[in-house]
Amino acid sequence: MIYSDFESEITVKYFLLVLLIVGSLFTITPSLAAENIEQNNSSVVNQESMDIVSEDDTFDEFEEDEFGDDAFGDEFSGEKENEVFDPLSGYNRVMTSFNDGLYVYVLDPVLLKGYNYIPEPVRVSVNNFFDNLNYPVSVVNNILQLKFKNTGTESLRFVINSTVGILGFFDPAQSWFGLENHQEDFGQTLGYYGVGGGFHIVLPFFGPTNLRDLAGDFIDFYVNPIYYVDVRRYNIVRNTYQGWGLVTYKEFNQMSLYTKEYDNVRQDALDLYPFLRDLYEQSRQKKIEE
Amino acid sequence: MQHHFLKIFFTVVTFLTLSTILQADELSDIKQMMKQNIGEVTTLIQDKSVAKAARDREIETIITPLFDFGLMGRLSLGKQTWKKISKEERKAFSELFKNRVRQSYMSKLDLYTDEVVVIDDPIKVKNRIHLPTHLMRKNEKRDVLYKFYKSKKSGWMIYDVDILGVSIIQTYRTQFSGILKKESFAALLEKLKSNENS
Repeated sequence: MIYSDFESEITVKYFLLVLLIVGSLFTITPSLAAENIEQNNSSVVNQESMDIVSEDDTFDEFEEDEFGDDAFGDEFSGEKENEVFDPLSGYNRVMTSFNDGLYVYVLDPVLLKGYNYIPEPVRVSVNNFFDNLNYPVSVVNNILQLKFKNTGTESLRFVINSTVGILGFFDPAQSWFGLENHQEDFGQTLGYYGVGGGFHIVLPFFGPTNLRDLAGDFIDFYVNPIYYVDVRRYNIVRNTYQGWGLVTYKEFNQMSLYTKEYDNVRQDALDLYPFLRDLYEQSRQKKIEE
Repeated sequence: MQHHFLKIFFTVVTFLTLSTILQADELSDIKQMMKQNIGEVTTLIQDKSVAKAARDREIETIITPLFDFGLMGRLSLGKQTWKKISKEERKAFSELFKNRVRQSYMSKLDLYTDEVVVIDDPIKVKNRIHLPTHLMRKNEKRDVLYKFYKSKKSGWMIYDVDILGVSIIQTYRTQFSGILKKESFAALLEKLKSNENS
């Protein structure tokens, strides 16, 4: 009994911490946004005088206008690095190398090599099972973003996959009924209401995230049954250690499905850390916009 | 007076209809063209009777004319840097960049197995055209967006591709500017070279 009291005290502390982080985000983001707008405006002025020209293998007639942009300049950012607010870049770089090294020297050749003897369809099923358990998170966040149609679709998917799809191991909702998943998390909900990403953080083992999404994860813990945050009726694990074990296993299983992709993508990088950071931030941005 | 007004009115109406028809044409042309190209590429990949090297060469000849690698390189480097470097450096950079992007695109095709690529309706964004496509893989929808601009010499060409919402040009821009912050342009070329055949 004393133990569980202790536990709930911790969760209250966590909650306060998260509130603090989210609160500080609201204060950080507007000033950043203003900075960006200023920078964009100045680049528009520079580019307006240019003409559209392009496509040249002849390098003799190199004039100003081969940039060809009446607007290419605004489409991309980052010519000056200070546009990316990245106070943890030193730590993040080290952690990226650590995670990558872990993947290249331990995960890929040892752990995943053994694990991948399990046929892929089975691993896909395990992934489906965890995805299905993510339903409460998804439905809460769909509602918070006022996406009622997607809330309905997600609920229908949950009912179909939990029954016909045998506890969610299969995904007949997608393959038979064509119901696509519309998973949302609290990071996306915050983004939907205009909270910027804050700065980028690379976690050991779990990889890239940012301040907003990390805060979002802590909130999502409260509704996802595979985590252990408190004494709840729908807990499927008994304590925090089992909860983290399950989360780690879930991530590990998912990783096993995407080794080829990761191998392929990391070869595209000239400089792994900013490359992976861009990949994360841009794909999250897209998910928020959808 | 009224006659005159009618004349202007009809000219404007004809002009507007014509321009919308032409625009619609451009959009469906691009969709048709990409449908054909992607179709050819996917059948080539699925055809196991052709050796991989020969197959890759064939795919490259289909893909290469679609991309404006020169512009992609310049956009990735950014205007400020491009102005600063010498002619020889520009030439060396463009060549290396072209090979790199092409190779990276080709290596992505190795990940492809037998998914159906769906080509959605093109969207006009200012004076450019975005062509969304997607495929289903392990029950997940994967989006690939091709971005076209109209070049004076060669018509509509691809200047950027978004894979799962990640712009290729943007990732290169961030990396290049980061590298150039600390190192010389020659070092950047060296990096582009060293990864060339990995």
